[in-house]
Amino acid sequence: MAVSKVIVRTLNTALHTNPKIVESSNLKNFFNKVNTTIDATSRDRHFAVVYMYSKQKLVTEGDMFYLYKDVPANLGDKIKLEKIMLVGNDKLTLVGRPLLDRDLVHVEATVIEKTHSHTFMGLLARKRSHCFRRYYFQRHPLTILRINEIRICHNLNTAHTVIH
Amino acid sequence: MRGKYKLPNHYIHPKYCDLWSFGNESVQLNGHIENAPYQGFGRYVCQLQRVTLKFCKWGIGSKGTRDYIETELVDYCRTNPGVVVYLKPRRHKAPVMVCEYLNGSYHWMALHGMSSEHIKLWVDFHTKRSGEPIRKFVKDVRTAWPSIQGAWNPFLNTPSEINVTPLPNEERGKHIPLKISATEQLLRMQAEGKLQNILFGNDE
Repeated sequence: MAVSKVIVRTLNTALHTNPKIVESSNLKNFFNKVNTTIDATSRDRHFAVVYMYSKQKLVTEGDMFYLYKDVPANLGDKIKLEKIMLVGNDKLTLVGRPLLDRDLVHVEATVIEKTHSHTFMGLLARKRSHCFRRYYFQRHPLTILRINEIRICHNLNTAHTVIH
Repeated sequence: MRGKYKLPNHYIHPKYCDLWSFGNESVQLNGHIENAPYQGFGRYVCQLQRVTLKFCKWGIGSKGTRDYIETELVDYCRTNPGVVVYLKPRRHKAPVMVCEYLNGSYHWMALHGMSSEHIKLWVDFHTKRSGEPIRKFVKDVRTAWPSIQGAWNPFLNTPSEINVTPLPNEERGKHIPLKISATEQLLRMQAEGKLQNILFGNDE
């Protein structure tokens, strides 16, 4: 008995002093804390930074945003936005490098309007000349989307199935 | 006056004076994104309710409108059962389209000399629109929740001891210079024990 006690004591001391084991246990604690907050705040209001057509928009549930593009989806179609740079709520923030995993976050939007933009005016003129002055007017196609849902699908560092 | 009077370059024809989205960007109507408040949450509701096509049965300017009515209009009505289409023939007048929306606004459009394909494009365009006027958007996102984690303020991550300490406090109110002064550097070197070596050299 005495011998076994001694062995256990030495092992314990080794665990506490070994920096690799300490680091891993710290990481495990950290991820456990993050996962518990994800579970606790799953019903809260989330926000996300979505990346569409080389533009970043900070959106929450139920708000509208526009794109100067004719998005190839019909009116009333629900689309899943897969390029998510950041997602968060009141308690935590998950930042992608630069994008988050597409199975981690679920952002759903609806196409509600397709119009064209206001008139952009371009002016071409020569310096110190009154006779050369040309105006160029252009309007771009415009799509307005509404965000329906932002949700964190699963915990971090857990096995998950790919949604097909 | 000698010669013909030339209009200035910024002259706007009175026909286009009352348009919201015409001319310089600073003159145009601006505001936030607007749409029906229920739009996008449940079923999609087409905001276009009524299209009135006024045309002449004889005139050559209404040729494209007549072609559109013959070829495309029935298909359009089948695909969009929510839209009412009125046809109003009238003698010796230019063809016109009036689109009326659910929010009460309407859009008048001249179709004189347009081909049927061209008219089809414009009718489809007005079907996809909400009735709001086209405007320059001041913000790219319209939201009811501008901040979820709270707005940042300069006292956000300051230590909570400040709530208890009486002010003015010497430690907090002390001037912190950007660069360390020469005196301060020397004092620090002396505290570390490096100064002696510089002044008197190493004995060994």
